[in-house]
Amino acid sequence: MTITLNGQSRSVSDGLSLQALITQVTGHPEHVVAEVNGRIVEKTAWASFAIDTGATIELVTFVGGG
Amino acid sequence: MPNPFTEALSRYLTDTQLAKIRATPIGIAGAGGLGSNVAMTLVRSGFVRFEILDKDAVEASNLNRQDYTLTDIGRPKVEALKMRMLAVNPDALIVTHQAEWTRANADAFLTGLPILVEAFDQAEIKREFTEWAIGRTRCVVSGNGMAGLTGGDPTTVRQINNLYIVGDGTTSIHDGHPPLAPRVLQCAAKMAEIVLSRALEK
Repeated sequence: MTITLNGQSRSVSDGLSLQALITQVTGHPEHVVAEVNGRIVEKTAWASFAIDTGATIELVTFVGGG
Repeated sequence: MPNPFTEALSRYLTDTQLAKIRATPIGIAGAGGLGSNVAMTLVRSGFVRFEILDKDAVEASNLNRQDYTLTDIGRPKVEALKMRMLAVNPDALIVTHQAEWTRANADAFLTGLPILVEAFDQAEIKREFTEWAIGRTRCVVSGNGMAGLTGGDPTTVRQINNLYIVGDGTTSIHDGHPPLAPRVLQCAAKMAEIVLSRALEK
């Protein structure tokens, strides 16, 4: 299926969980905030969150410093 | 009776603008390089209501980029920052918490505010605070990537709905990039600019 990840079209396997996607695309899942179709999905819900085809996903990876 | 600072500010901003700014309370999570400089920039811009949280005391190693001086060393950052803000505008109303923010105690601090500034330094806490803050406020402004001597533009803004992430998104203190004033202050100034713009919008 096709999703839009951080503004780019991307092909991913059907039924992929948000947790699996985040693990695939970032080396630091513990630093990520995820938004799917305009709504924040909290980290505790990633594993059970099945991504739908056409989903628009924004992932923000935080780095240290402030 | 307006103090001289407030009186002089009306040379630069209209009554309508000043009223909007004064009516917007700001929450600031973290009073380090970003938080202290955002707070000082906002108080100079006319904001008067603040709630600020930080767990630490000022150390000598903070002075290269944080808005403190030698006489502040050893004092809680939130107290030192409050004094510095009041030295600009004695009529500012500043609620402070010397406390560690965790998800467990989150609802005790920084609630009911229209704009929240995320200015923590550890990536995991930045993540956790931002995730918590979105949905609890009208606007979240977060700093992300401003360490080092050089790097990507620390004033880069990524907007996702009501979340504004300011910084290059990559340079991390965890990867050996030292926190230095030029890029930290650029990021803080951009964050303050977004807060001011959002306050004037409504």
